[in-house]
Amino acid sequence: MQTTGPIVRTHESALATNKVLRNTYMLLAMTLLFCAATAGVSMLFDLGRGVGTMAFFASFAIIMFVLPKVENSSAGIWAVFAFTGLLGLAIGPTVQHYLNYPNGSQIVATAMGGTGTIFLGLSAYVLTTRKDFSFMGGFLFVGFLVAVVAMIANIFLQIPVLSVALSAVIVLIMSGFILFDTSRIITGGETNYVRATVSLFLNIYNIFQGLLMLVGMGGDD
Amino acid sequence: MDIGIAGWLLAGLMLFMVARGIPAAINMVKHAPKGTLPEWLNAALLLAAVMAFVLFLMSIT
Repeated sequence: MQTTGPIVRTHESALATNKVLRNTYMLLAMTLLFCAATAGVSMLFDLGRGVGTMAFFASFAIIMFVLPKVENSSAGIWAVFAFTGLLGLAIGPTVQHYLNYPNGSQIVATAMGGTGTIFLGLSAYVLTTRKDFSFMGGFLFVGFLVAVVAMIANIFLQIPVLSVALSAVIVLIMSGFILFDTSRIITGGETNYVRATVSLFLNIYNIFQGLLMLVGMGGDD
Repeated sequence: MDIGIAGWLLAGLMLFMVARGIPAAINMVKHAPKGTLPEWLNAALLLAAVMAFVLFLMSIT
């Protein structure tokens, strides 16, 4: 009888983890669709970079000032939708830029397919093996900071080979963050599905942008 | 390469940094013993946010 307590707790903890995971994936799927829809609206009405920049700043404000306050309530879900919708508006002109290339639709489709494959593959790997990738956190964050500094430097240096390399590095680092974040949900390190959704969404968003840049450079005639 | 596109990739990364940095900072503040959070940490976070913002503006203009 003495072992009943811990067993019940473990069972409850596993149920709670599965609930967080299920809610995260459900919210992630809905927000990705919403983001794609707002990006489509942005392209359909040909909203320019100005609207995109404003939408980006608004999403920045949501993540800085609104989300930390509402992430533990149901209002957090609406904040995530607002955040992802605004990011969709912000990415619309970039996608339109690539669609204007001669093989634009192929570039965008390849980037989307690549992003989907990376996300599904890595998530399936973590969910199947149940490995703990928390050891990667420090390494990934340092790699991320180095990549950001190099990208800022390259704005002034303008070395095309470096931007190709950096796009690949960003895709690699964000893929690592997918492993890290999914593993955190599974091991119970992340119990808030709103925060987990935002983390995974931003990983996917950056992988898509990185791949778009990589494939776009190859396809730019 | 179009500098605007690189700027947008950088913008996404900045957003990523803020999204991770804020919960981490809140967590740090919550778990720090009372009265031990150094003043320089607040200043450093504020400075980092301002620098990120300025660099983002530089990259898109």
